[in-house]
Amino acid sequence: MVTLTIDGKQITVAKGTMILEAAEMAGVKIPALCADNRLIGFGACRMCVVQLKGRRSLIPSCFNPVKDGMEVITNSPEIIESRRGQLQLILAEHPLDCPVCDKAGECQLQDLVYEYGVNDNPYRMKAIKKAVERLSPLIERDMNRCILCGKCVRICNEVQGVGEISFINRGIKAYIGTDFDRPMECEFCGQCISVCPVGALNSKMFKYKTRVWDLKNETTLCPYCSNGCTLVLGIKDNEIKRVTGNYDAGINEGNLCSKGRFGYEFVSSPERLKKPLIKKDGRFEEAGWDEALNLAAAKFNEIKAASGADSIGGLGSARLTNEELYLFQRLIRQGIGTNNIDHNGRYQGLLALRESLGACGSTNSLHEIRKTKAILLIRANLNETHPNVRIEVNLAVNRNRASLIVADNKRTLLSRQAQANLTYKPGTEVALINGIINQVIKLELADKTFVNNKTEGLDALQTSVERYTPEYVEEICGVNKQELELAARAYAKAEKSCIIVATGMGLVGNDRDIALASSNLALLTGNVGKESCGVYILPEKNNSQGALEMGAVPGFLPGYKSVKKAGLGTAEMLESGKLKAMYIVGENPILTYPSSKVKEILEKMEFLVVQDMFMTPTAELADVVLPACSFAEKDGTYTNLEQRVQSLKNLKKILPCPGESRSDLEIFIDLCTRLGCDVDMQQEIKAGSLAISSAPNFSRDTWKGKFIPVEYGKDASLASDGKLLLVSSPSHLYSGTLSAWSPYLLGIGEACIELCMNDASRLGVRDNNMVVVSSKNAELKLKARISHDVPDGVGVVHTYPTINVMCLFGKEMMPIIGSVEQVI
Amino acid sequence: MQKARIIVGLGSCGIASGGKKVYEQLQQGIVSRGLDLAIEETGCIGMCYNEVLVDVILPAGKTTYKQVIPEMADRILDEHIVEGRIISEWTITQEDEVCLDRQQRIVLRNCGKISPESIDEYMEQGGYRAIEKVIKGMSPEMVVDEITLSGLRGRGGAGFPTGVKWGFANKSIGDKKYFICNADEGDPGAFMDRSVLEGDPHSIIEGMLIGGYAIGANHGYIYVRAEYPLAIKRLKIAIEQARTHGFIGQGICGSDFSFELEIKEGAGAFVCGEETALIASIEGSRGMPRLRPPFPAISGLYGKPTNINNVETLANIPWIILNGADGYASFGTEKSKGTKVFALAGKIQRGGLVEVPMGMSLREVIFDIGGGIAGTGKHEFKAVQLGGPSGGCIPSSLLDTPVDYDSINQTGAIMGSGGMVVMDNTTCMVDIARFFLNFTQNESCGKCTFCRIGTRRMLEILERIVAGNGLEGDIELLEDLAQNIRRTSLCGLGQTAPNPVLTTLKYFKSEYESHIKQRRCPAKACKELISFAIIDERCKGCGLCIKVCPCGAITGEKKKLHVLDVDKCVRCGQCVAKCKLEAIIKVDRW
Repeated sequence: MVTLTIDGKQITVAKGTMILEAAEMAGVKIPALCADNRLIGFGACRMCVVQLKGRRSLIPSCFNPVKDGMEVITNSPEIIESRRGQLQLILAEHPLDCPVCDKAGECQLQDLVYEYGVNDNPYRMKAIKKAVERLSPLIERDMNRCILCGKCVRICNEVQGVGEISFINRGIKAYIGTDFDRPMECEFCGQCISVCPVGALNSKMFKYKTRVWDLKNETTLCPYCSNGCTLVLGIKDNEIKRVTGNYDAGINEGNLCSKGRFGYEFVSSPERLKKPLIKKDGRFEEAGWDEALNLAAAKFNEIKAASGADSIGGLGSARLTNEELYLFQRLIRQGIGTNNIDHNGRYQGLLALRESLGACGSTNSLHEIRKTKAILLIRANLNETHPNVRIEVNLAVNRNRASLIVADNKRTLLSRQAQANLTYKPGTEVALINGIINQVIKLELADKTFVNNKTEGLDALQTSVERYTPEYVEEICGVNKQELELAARAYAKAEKSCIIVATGMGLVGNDRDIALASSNLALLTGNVGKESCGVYILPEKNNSQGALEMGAVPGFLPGYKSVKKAGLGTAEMLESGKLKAMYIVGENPILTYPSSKVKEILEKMEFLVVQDMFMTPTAELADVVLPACSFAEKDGTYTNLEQRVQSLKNLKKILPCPGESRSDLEIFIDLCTRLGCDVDMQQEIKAGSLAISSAPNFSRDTWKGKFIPVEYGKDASLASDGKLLLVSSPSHLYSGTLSAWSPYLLGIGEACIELCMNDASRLGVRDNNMVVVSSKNAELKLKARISHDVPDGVGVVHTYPTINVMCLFGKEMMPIIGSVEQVI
Repeated sequence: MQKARIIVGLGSCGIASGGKKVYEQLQQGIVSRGLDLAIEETGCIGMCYNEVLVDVILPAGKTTYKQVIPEMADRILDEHIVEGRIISEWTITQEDEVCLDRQQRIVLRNCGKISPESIDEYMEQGGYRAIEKVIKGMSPEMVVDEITLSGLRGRGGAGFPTGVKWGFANKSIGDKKYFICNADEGDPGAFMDRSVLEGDPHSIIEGMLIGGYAIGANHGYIYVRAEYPLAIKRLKIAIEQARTHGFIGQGICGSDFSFELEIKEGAGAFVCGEETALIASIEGSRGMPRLRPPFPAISGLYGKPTNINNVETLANIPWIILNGADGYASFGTEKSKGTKVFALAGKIQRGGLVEVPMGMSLREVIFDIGGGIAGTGKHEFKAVQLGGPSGGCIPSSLLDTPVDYDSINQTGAIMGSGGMVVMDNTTCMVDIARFFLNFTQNESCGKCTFCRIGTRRMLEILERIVAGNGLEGDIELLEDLAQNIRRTSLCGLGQTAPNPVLTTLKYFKSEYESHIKQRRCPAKACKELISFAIIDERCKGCGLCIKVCPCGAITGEKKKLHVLDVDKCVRCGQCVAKCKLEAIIKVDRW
């Protein structure tokens, strides 16, 4: 620790802290235009110059570390003069179009010019006019206002790992741009907008919407992925005008992805359902809540009496709050009396970890990833699925020099930084991981002490992986020996390593086996139960983890207590035709469930209740539609991928529910009562919070990890006769339950099939051609995209909210043989 | 006894003077005459003003012909080679030889002597014996100590002790270390690194090998600017030769020391001469200086310990190893040891490269070796610009300053890489400041506000001063900006960018004042402030000026007095240059 004084205030900080950070801790404000807590010091703006007592020289505080006994002065006349000079120079190049600049009011330059009273300028304005770039979706770039602090370039590179923009040219002609000044083609996370200290980078969605000082900023949670980011909603006139992040609030340190930042339009969509609807003679008619709920209760009771409770099923959503999910399973289990409850999610991977490690979900927390030394990504195209987990991976690789191994069936954006790229044939993940385990054993890289003390079942594993020799793995996976060995060494030799596997409705493969094989590898190398190690199984939606913990599954009660007789799961409910009635909450299986027959089944239902924010294709088939409100209009908790339970802020007073819509919780309580099961809200919430399982205590002597051998089952056959092996790639837009109603967000993706050059020319397909993709399950019309990332013989189908591409794969959700033909 | 041969100077200066044609002509002549005579090429010996230089080496001795043109080839062959008569009117003069004698050639020891494309000739001169000596008999620490003792300071400009730098990198811990040669010579008017690269590439390679051994690096990069194609070509040849001779690769000189060497071509950014920017450029990033610490010795290329030395520094290394630290330290002054190569350019009689012991006075370098001001003696010395765009102008009153790091720094200029641009009284000092500032403001990477915008504003002020639109207070504004840029820039480029302005303001303030207050350029160089006039009594009406005038400003009949229309005149100066009678002169316009 180092003790110093800043403007007379004494403070003790850690060694290596920069003066700027120390001043922040001491509560002394030093102006800085190019510094950001998330970025490596850059030292471009020189606003942060300070002096040491008794010395004349000006030193930049952003990259001068503290020293013991330092006496820092931050506001001598000389410093102020230098800062004024700096501002005068910037102003000589800056268009003073503040009245039409969206940044006005929170512009750091404006604030500093005001603070330092720069009302004179010895330099004549002679700025070079630069064009404003308006062609990119979502982001507008006005380089005339740019002060070249480089924050956008750095966050894009250092934090996001994308590198879409860069400095171009030198000297006074320097500006920030893309290669050859093309429009931006990135993932549109908007991080560059968020760090811009001036109005050079603007959100097109926010442009000319309102002045920032009119916004009321409210903190809440993101409704999209399982990362659990904290959002700051800028609200005016009962409408969300923009979303920003806040470094000091939430686990995301202010970082947001495109969904979090730009995916808020659905909240104020005019298409939101405002009144309960009852279908009469094939047409929906508006109804009162009592009428709708009475009808639902009566119908459920009637069918229960006639065909038994097990002829009714409930399909929830992993976007509901924990409280709602708990109540929903009570409603189905007690109110109706069946275990036919599930949510449309792929949680086999999460449950598998319970068998092997005793932890249902990821073993370590999110921020531990950045401190690890090696990362094995298995089928985890994080840029699309979990952009903020990608940030952690990127930080580990770039700041902590961790080695990265990317195992995927195509090259992803993260492949650029990877030490080893294991591009395996679709569906062969298990063989690949077993191959790595085989190498770890052969090269004697296993952690013997850990294996002896903390695991059981090694012998079975050893026997099982014996046949996964590099030759055998090369034959199955198409990954060569050198790469495999490199990966095994990089993963096993690192002092701490973690494995990350993504799951979700948009991903094909045997999740359970992948998770078990991964935990075998982690246990063998002693990478469990320590900091920055472990296995991360990333769930898909914001409360996927909570849905499991709250028992919204056919086989478990809340807290993973097993049921006597498991009910029907999603697949059986939607495909078997055994049900007479269903209660679907917040889900749209017609577009998200991997089958094209769902519509047929639902149409045959005697009675269907759909509870949603929008009139989805599924809701259109319902007999009763109940309007629910959004995350921004309700209270509750979500459990994120690291099992952190976080609270939504009840914004009801700021953002009223549209029309008569109610929160899911209110609807459940009401319906529960009508179904004759009493609800005492206080008790319910208590029971709900008790149900949340705590992570296992790995350090306890009794804890032992189990090796559970898994075999590559040849589930995926290889394509031949000019056919392709189809796999899916989830787009960052996910299922579309929210994003389908956010037009700006929809503009940055499309459904398509990605092909390699060889296959495309063989099939006579060109870039952007429309093609018919068919498998034994379905046939779809998609746009073809030719890419260098996909290996020969593989077609990667990208998901998109408005089209159900997953129906190609069927409920098995495995890579499937399909054909691609050009539309003539 | 040496074999009879002819050596043609084919450095960039020789080639620019038509050396290739001379070479071809001589070659054809040898073949057609059936002479038993080898013809070889060599690099620059330093007498660039005398190129093309041709050495004829016969058993009787060596003769050097200067300013050879292809037409002279036949006579040289016929008279000198066949008949044995030296053509004395074409050989270099006594004076030329004296200026060579006054030099102390360590860095340039082989330049102009050996063929740069022959490793054998380099080895004949003792080449690669230093690395052998080091590997067979010295520990890395001993090498570091030897270099430290020699007092060698970095020749790239800043003058940091090389041995100390190597010591840091030697002690730094890393699984891999890098050794980089900075051959990104970007100063206008500096060409010593180019000459060494073109004339003696093996000495750089050997210097890097010794350095690599000393710090424990097994991988080297030579970062050379793409504008030096000949240097790159010869380096590539040299690397290949060194590889076949076992000096690059595994197990060098039978030891377990291995070294790999790669060339990285720079893309023409001046700022990439700054070490952190250079590293970024090799890594494939934008060449932008970054913050130090960490210094490259701790975390450099790809985050590994890295040492960077300039070409000239490295060329000294093999000599120091072979001749001992004491041998090197016997040259120079107390704090600046050894020799320094200077590139003499500008209005100087004998432009070229000279290598002198540190501590020689500027006067000796410029007048005794360089021959003073070019021309017929009409113009007099005004100032010398030292250190390129980061340096400053030293006036005639300080000509007795010894050239060593500390004395030069006291004048406000810097040693820099060793470019010496000599100026006479026809050079406007404000314009010179503008020229150098234009260079730096173009080459600023754009990172620091003061460097990016500040240099631009300074340039604008200087531009208006030389255009006669200077304002009251401009000098103060310049001084103010210069101080701020100096104090708040991140790298050497910005910190030194105002030096040309500051030194000219220090020594030639009156020139600035007359530009601003009287709208007068004392050197009559600023176009906007001068006009042309015909002196009646000198004009004979020859009409030459009428012919060259691009805008018909001069009229007059043959053999009658010509008249110049000042309104039409664009002040290009072609008439002045053409008039043999000096009848047209520059006068103040306002």
